Amino acid sequence: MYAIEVSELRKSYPKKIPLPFRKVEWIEAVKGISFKVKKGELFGLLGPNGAGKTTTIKILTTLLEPSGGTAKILGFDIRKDAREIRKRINLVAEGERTLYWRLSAYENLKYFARIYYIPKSEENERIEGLLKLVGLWERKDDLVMNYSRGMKQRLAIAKALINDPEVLFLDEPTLGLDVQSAIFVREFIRKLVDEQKKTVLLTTHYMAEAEELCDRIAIIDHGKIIALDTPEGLKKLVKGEDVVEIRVRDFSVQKLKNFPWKLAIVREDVERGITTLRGQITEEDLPKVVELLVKSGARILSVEQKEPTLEDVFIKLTGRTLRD
Amino acid sequence: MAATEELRALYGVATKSWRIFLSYKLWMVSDIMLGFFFVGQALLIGIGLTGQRNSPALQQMTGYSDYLTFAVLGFMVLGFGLTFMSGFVWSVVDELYAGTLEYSFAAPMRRITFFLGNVLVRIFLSFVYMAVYIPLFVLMFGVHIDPVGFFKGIPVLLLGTVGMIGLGMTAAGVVLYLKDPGPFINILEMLVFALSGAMYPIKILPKPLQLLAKAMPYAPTSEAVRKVVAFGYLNSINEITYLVFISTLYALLGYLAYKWSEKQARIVGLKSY
Repeated sequence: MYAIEVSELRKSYPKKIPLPFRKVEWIEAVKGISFKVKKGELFGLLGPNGAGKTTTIKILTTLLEPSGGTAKILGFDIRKDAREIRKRINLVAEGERTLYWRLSAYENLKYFARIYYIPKSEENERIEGLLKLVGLWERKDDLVMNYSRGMKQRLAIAKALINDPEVLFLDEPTLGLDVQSAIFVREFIRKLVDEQKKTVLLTTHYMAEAEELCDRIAIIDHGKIIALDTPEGLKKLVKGEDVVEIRVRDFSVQKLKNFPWKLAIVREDVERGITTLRGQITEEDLPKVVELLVKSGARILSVEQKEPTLEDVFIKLTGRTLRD
Repeated sequence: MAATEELRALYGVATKSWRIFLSYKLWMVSDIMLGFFFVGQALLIGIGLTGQRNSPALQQMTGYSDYLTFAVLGFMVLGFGLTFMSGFVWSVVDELYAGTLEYSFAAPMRRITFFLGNVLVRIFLSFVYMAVYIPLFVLMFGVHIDPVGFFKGIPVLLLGTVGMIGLGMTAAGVVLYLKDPGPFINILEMLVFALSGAMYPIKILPKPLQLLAKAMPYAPTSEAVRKVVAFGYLNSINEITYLVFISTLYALLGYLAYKWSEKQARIVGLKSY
């Protein structure tokens, strides 16, 4: 049995709230995605903002009803067995304001312990253990509003472990965190899988994070999965092709539209007028690319060959970067 | 086992709600002051309109000659009734604003437990306020409340509570569904206040507004409570029967509206602000 089984999952949202006699247009956010996650696997959904990652997580955590398709968590159907699923899973939602800021860390966990039906006899011990695990025991009585962003996220993770879930959903768990906190969170997530054998599904738009953490990654774009494999497997999609990074000055984005090669803007230094382009270009094509760029009025500053990354896979598949 | 788990969840929500309430130090003070402003205003309006506290016209219409006692009883019902509105509606709106609602809704706890936990705190506060108000109103304003009559009114108030919970659930359902619930809540609160019969008998309202007032659970509860306090159960059979009808209707409506809206919210998605 898989921990998560998703088949042809679809979700449409109305553009406006449906009311009687109002014709409403629907937008399809998730367009028939399918994937399976094994128990004890760390599975990533990688994609840009608006790709359908959060919607997918909300459906799988039973917060949203799918418009079509099926999904099972630990063998339970998301439509029929929502409460059974909720007992066995937990989530860290995107954003900072997911906990009660006017309560202390201890009070927050106490609340969640009760609504997750943790027996009274285990409650205090579990809360203490979790707060120690995320390094917040010393600050347990401080109001959450006085915590830093990183501390809030650590508390959100502790909250997500309150019911000792078999499957954990993490929506952009390091978004907006400082470097140190992000490292802590990443290491913590990896430990949960390696040592506690949890199944984790995480969404991210940070390629390095997906590459570093995930056993397998599904790249999602415009509501569809466009590639699914291990990080190494995905990078093989661009192996054998040369990944080139070109730094240019006075580059016009309009010119890129008529380019015969898939090049994406990966960095823009507006102040200095320097644009960094990246894409898969063969040795034979490289002089033609440079010539076209020069003809378009751009000045070439440097041309560098690079090791392929997941970003290159995304560029190859979509012609865009994850930040676009 | 399941019932014990749900009760613990209910206790958890109530405790959380209570601690958050206490974290806003001035809420309780402002809530209590509101009651004194209401009664003070009633006293001034009564004297301003009739030149005295006792009104023969009011006596003829409602059986109460003392306008202040009439208004105090209305205020008690309104204050108690609004706890359900705020328990259901504001608990959703506050958590939507805070961004915490989804976390609570992602838990296995039943959603009705979440609402009832919030309502419990407000009921408790309502009783605390009553315990503060009644002796002070008697001492400061000389309000005449017969203790036996007052306690007779409590079961009627609880009967009306069923309808008020129903209306609260309906409103919570609508709030859950709307993108911007602010105007809806404002209008609803104004309607409840104007049509509750707290400050004046609804008989003085134009016919359509009288019908509207009768169609909500507040005015029928105020009328039934006042009549029972003044004249006893036997003389209030008509008011009690109507209250049973309207409360049952709202309980049903509240359940159906909330279920429908919750389903819709899962299709449309919970709004965040």
